[in-house]
Amino acid sequence: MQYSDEYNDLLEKYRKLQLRTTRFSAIEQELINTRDRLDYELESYKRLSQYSYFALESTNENHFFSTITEAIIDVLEVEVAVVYFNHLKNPQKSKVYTEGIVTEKNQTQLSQEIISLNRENKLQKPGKVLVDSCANYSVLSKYAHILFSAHNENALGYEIYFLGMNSLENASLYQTIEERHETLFAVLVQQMQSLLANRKRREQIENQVKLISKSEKELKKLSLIATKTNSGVIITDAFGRIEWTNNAFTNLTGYSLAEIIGKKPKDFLQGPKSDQKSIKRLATALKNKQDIEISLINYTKQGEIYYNNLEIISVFDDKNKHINFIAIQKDITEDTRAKQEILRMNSRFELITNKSKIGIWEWTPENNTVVWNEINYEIYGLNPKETKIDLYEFWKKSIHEDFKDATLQNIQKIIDNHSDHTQERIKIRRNNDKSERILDTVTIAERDEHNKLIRLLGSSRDITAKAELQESLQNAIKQRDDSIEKTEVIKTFYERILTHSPSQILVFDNHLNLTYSNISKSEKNNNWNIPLNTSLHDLAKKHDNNRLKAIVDSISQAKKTGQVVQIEDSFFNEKNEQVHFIRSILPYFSEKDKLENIIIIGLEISEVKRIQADIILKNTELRKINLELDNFVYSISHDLRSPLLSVKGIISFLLQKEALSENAIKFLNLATDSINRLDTTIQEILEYSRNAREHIKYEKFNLSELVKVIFKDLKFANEKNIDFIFKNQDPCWIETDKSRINILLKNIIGNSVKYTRENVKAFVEVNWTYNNEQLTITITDNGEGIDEIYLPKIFDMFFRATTSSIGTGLGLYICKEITNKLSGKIKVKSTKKLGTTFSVQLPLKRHFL
Amino acid sequence: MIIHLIDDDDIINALHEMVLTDVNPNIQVLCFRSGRQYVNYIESIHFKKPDKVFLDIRMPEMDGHEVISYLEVKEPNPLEDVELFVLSSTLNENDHKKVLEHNIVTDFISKPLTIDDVETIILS
Repeated sequence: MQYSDEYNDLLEKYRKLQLRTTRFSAIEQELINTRDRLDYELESYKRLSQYSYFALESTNENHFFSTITEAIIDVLEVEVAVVYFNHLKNPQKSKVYTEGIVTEKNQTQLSQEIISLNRENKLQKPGKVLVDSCANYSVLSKYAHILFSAHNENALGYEIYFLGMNSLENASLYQTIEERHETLFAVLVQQMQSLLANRKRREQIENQVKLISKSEKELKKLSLIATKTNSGVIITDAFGRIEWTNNAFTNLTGYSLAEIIGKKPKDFLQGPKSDQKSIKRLATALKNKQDIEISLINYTKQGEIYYNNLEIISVFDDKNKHINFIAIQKDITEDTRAKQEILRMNSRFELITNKSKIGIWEWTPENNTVVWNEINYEIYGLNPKETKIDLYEFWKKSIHEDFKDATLQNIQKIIDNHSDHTQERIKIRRNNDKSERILDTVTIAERDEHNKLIRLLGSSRDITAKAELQESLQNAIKQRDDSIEKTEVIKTFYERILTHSPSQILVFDNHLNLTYSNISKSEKNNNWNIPLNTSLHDLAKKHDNNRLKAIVDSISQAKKTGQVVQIEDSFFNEKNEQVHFIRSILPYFSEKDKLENIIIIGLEISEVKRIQADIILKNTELRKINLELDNFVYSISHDLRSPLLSVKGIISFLLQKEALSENAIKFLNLATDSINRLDTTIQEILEYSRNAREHIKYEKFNLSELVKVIFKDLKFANEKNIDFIFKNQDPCWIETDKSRINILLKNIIGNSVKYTRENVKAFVEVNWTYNNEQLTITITDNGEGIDEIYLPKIFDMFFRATTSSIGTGLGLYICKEITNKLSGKIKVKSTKKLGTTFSVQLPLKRHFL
Repeated sequence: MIIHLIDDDDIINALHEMVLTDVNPNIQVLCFRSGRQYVNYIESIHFKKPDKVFLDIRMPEMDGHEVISYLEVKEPNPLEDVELFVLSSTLNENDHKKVLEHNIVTDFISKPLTIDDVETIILS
């Protein structure tokens, strides 16, 4: 009884020790977790910066927004991301972008809810929405967590909302929204919003550029008018009052210019049969100063109805102010008077074209004459007095090689009646200074009623300076935008990182004036109440502060060596807790090796220090306990064994020396068996504890010899008739832990010897093979075998497969522990009533043969 | 023949005495219950040099290692030419090795002493 008490006591103490070990590893785990969490956050910021870069690079708006939603999902690790772009002036341009599975397909509903959520919540900054406040919303109430942010950009005409959400049914699969998420979300939203604003600003500029090119088109039309003289033309002022008409108009309507000047055309041209719908359309277009082409029934001075195909062009000056309407009445019956008309018109339009620097040319196939106006001479760099030159050949030569073929082909198409006009941008070489010029050209064919070509009319405008200017302006704008955008994004990004960094960062200039600090005033361990632009030198002098002095000294050292200097800084905070910081003092040199800044990065290590001290203390304690336990286990095993062995000795003496009855001998033998079993148990417990604690002792030995010794011992200790077969008896020199291998093999072979089958000639066979990496030892027997259901458990502590088992249930557990310790593997194959094979695989540190 | 047994376990001492006298009834056995007792005896005027000594390792007051250390420094050696056997039930291999490092120790024998052991020792 006494022994079993002590044995229980031993086990109890052992359990307590294991509990302690578990506790220490929990503390270590906590440290690792903290480090992992910081790593993880840094990783999130890195990912965010990657997405910002993608968003910055994306050219397509859809792509831009889907990058944002992806970023929300990926960086914040939420289930659903929604970005709602609300166009204030044009609701049709509003759009909802989603990523993840949105429970509501009805996006109109979703966007309405987002807007009213913004109004009701009045969140000052991006953050978490209390789910209660969404209870009345049909879509949003389906979400358990909502991160929300709204931005209003009135100047750019839009509102943008960002949401990150987890649905009710899946919320358990996602992390709860913590402060960390809100911070991350704020950074993300801020970055994306500034990217979007930049994008919209750029779009505005592009639209203006487009407007400029549009008014250019109108100028082109103006130059066209000069040639479209077979139609009636009215020019009115901005209020639609007639300023001028051409002869064609007079011929068509019977009104002379003198009669109608200052009047509005609708006052005298329209009559009862004029279509009111068309008139209304025309009036609206005129009111909105839009171009329009419309068919109307009009009346001549004589009251005759005529069918008028009217085209109205609005003319704007370069300040985008509306100055004129030009109305063209197409009339195909009146072209016989065209030639005369053109001459009359020319003098007037010469003025307009001179003002607008439009070159005009005319080619008549009938007599193959080419006429240029003065501007055209100027554009091509030719002296107008040069009359001997063949203008057509000269023109052909002037065109840049890259454009020549296409231009000539287009003109040929007009001549061949495949088209009636072409508009081109071409490059020419100017004759006088040989410089390359860019021209916008228009070419128009005039045909008679049989579609025969009468003449070609063309205009050209030198837009080189403008094109270059426009191009360089666009480039400059783009470059400026890009660089502003990039630097701003990077600056914000790093500032955000610094602000959210757990480290305290102080930047001083080379006179030790504080220029930057990320320490907020509310911070708990703010021990650096240094106002910006204050010198650290002065502070150290003024307050006789040893801590400051130590830092100033370290700064001098860092300046001198040019290396990072680290010092530990300890102080008591407001709550009178001791706080430890490690401060790295980093001298920052410019490219010319001039000291520019001193950067001090302070990292709070109080917790680490505390845990460190704790761990050291506990480690020492643990080591002591371990040593005590070692002695304890040996003492106990010794004290348990001593009396056991004396009993064993007495029995053996009795059996050998006294004349005993048969029954006495039988009982004494049984007693001996029990003693042996108890002894084995004690030895196994000792082996187990030794394996768990002792380091591996490598030594060189011959495995074959070891197996032979084990065989011999077992043969000697056993009366059973068993064949011990050792297949490969070659010397096997290996280097590993001999005593562990001994225990391992003894246990397994011992089991084979223990559990033999009756009526079968028992054998146990040992074999070994090896390759470069590992040694495999197999132990096969034809014994009882192990039930299949027990196979997965046989290596468990205290597991015994049968009641007939006479062991402690520790043997195979120890084998498993030993192979684990030696980084090996142990496997078992067994068939009930057939036998068992154990194979032990050991990686060899070295092996010798 | 005089044999000294030093062991704190009376039963073991009794058993060992039986085993020894069984092999040779003329053997005179003296038992000591601790290392301290044995050293006191050596220091006393009653000390008589034995032929063989069986010493246990783990004992209260003064253990086997301490007795060995004492004997090694003692001048003159009280056990000159005496065979000293260390008897122990320890499973600690270190105990085993440590004991055999001493020149004055003849051998290490695991407990309990059997008739076979005694025959081998006495007849050799």
